[in-house]
Amino acid sequence: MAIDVRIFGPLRLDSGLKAISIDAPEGKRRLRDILLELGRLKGLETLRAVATEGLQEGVPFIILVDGTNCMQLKGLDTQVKDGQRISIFPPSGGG
Amino acid sequence: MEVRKIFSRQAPLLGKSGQERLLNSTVCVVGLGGLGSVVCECLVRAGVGCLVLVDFDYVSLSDLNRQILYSYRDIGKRKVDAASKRLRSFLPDVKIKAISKRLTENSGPILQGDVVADCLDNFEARFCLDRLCRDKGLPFVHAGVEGLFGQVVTVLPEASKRLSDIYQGIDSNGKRPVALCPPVMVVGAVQALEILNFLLRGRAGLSFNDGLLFVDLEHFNLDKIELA
Repeated sequence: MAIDVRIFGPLRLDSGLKAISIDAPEGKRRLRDILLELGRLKGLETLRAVATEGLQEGVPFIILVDGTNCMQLKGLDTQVKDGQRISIFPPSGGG
Repeated sequence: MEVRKIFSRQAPLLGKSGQERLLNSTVCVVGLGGLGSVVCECLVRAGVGCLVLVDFDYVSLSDLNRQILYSYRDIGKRKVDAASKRLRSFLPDVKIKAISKRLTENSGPILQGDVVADCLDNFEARFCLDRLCRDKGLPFVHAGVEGLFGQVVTVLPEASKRLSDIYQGIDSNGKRPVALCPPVMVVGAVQALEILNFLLRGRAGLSFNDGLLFVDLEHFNLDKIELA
């Protein structure tokens, strides 16, 4: 088992990655640490910046943990368990 | 009799009862930009009998690259009037209630129908529509589009997770998005189909009330992102 990360939109375009599996040796990992690890990959540097600077109002993408916005959980301190899924997508505002 | 011929090619799909159900349905379309144009056109051509159109804006030149209800001759006209004229041009019997007003927290009374289409162009207004629909017990189908990406999600009145929960933290007053006709048409068509399925089969017809459809026309992917 591992943590399944799904990437959508411009981040997928920039990184060329659709899904990434992140190991959780102790059965869970903090969301901030996952973003730091992802942020080392080419095209996902923005995630590193988010992990460092924090999730502020006006972020360009939404991070869901098993379908719930992480800001409704414990933000970057959310513990993501083995087998859970993270989805990162940019909501489009235009009509 | 002539009017029935308009729908003859879709009869095998909808059946007589389905077509009658659409004829007796009302959809409130809020926002008559790119998505609103496509949604209205799809709904009227499918045979939805009544539309409530809500938009405060006027047609401008920069709308014409994607807002398919309008032509050069409509520049400067109220969108609700130009849209009504265009929709009646291919189905004269369609009932249209045109409301040229900006959506506010006091707009509850103007939202009428079986379902609401969120075709607005900013999240602040969408969150307002979400609150109004919850208070009025109306389901609404939300869509957004930007560049080659877009999304569609349906929010039922009793849903515990509102649009503002799903999108918490997003810039609700963002810059004017990049807008190209084909992605607007694809996302608008999906939004219209979700509405038609709801009108025809009720909640059993919905596809995006338990997940958000992410439309990626850069890679030609349609992904359903599960929502808790």
